[in-house]
Amino acid sequence: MTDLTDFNRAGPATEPDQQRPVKRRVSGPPEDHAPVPAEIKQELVSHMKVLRAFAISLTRNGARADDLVQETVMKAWANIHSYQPGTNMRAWLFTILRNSFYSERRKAKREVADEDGETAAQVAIKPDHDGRLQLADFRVAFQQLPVEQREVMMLVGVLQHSYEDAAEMCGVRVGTIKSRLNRGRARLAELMQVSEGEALELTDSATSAVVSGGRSTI
Amino acid sequence: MSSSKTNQSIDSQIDENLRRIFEEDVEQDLPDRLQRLVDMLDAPDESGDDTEDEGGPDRPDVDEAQASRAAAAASRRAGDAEQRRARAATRGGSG
Repeated sequence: MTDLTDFNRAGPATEPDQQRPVKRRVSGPPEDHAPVPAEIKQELVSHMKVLRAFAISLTRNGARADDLVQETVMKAWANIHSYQPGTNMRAWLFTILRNSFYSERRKAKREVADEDGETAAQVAIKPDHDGRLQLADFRVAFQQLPVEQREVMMLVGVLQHSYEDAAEMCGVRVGTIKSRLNRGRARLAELMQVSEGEALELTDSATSAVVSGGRSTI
Repeated sequence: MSSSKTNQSIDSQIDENLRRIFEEDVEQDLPDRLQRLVDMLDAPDESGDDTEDEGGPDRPDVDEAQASRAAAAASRRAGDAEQRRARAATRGGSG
């Protein structure tokens, strides 16, 4: 049985040279279960990059996103026998990831101020000199949205989950999902100072060509 | 162009740009520690070996178990999301 115990000893490390002490071990699935089929393991691995991209959209920080992905995969592995083959593993992993994220965030909030609130108070992004947008500007604007809006925009707008799926994953009502999506889009347009009749397009042609030229990786 | 159509256009452009930044992140190489995790999961299963766990395998804590159950429920509800995405990608793939 694949055992991630040794991996877990190193623990997640937000700071490269300062690894956290190990709080607990998460070894392989319980031994009274059958071995995990190879295709399940392969599917778990295949979602790693999308999982990390989703984590980045939540945390806005690569190292924290890596911690979160690591924790998610460890939890998923420890509970892999609760996953039902044929159902949507990505949705299962996303739910574990966001639960871990909000759990960590709740703990952190007891100690520090709400960074999202501070961020949201920042001024609008000024458009580039020609009034158009760079992809990097768009990312900065997106990162200023509250996390609840960012995750819905990613789940529905990018990953094309239905409102119902997103509501299930986020543990809220469908109306809340729609509201967050609309408010997120409106705020993003406001931050980018886009109004009716204006095109929201990228002038970073090199980036645009690279990103959109290949087949979709999502 | 009507206001609602314009808003739809802005929404779709926002989604497209979000898709681009998301794809940027997806295309990044995994950092070493996540790649090592992948390698461990990819490694062949060594069935039948005696695990030398001190005190036996740990149970996930309550939060993990609850998270897993909630995730499993979401997974069942979202079972056809992949197909919808594939269909949407096919429709929009050439654009």
